[in-house]
Amino acid sequence: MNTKIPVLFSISLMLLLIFTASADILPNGTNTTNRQIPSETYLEVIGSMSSHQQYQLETSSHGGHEGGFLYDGERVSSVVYKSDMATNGGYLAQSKGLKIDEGPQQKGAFNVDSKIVSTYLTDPEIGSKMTSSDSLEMFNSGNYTKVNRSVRNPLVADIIGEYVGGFNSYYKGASAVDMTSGQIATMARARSVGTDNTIPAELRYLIGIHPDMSSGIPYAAGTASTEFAMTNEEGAPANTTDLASTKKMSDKTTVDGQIFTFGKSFTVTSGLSPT
Amino acid sequence: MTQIRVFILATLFLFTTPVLITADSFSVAPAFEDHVSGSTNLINMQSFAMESRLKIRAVGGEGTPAGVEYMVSISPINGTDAAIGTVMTDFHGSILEGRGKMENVSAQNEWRDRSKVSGAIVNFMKSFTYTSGITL
Repeated sequence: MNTKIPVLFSISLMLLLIFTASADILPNGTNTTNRQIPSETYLEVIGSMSSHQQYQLETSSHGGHEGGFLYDGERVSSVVYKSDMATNGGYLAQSKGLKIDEGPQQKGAFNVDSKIVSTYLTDPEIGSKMTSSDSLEMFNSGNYTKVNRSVRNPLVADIIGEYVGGFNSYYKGASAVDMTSGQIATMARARSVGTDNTIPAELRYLIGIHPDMSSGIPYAAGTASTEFAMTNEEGAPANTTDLASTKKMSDKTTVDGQIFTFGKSFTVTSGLSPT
Repeated sequence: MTQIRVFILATLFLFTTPVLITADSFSVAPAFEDHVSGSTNLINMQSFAMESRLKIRAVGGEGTPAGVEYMVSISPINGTDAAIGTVMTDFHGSILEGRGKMENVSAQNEWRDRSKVSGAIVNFMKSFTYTSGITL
């Protein structure tokens, strides 16, 4: 028998946060091999399951950089994606796809593209449950340059008309869920390598939790929390590396109980683009 | 009951091949190094049907990308509801790349995917593809 929870949560959240950081100039691809690594998992099991997935991509625009200060006009980007899930019993059905492409991307394409849908059901009195966590983080940084009063790409010099100041940006989308029944869908995407200097950095994160209708239980039961964050520091266009602008944003949510609908999405785009 | 124990290990090493160097768009080939591996372990399986597929392309004509395809699938045998036992998979890769004439690392690419499933397995499939995406 299910334990009757006297408190009923009915939460419906849809957030679309679009932040525009004024200038993240991504490093271009190395054009060495540009590896593409798609992987898929389909799973249906009654029993226990654990999975750990991690991906990291570091790219530097000036090969040969070895820590310390960035060179004139150098840009670096780093993306880290982690996904963990474990159950200690119960029924689990999962579909997971992770596409990795380390090559340079156009607008609308991503270096990391993950989609996971999991359906879980157990008798909560037995003590089994599912825990899952998922996080996508991106850090971009760049140094200004005085060379030709422009950044390296002449196209950007035409747009901006001045050289660009230094910048540091950090973006994060993450979630953690514990549940005894329900369905979770997450999507995580990041672009950290551009085809040229006008391609903006972008991070997207989305999570949705719904009841598993086939189980007959009209709600998902458990705890879910999300964390979205963005920080950006910039030098003024004509002002070398002196800090001229700081932006910070953070959003944390936790829900617990009988979840009928829970959805959150987060998009952050660097606005370095004339269109 | 008879216990079946199967152990499959596929470790793949891909290193610089002349094909990839000539395919690069730089006049001077930057340095790079790849290491990719995948493995599947089955422990104490009682009844199951398994299919695994492995394809490797390490030598090709000019412009042919290096590639690895690996797929493993576990499902119940006909007449039963589920395969019983434990399955573990481990995919891992590490790539270092240079840029232009530089010999130091300009891109670093590392991933790991480990999973373990135990119990009544109705269906379990993992696939993993690895391709050099260089375009001329």
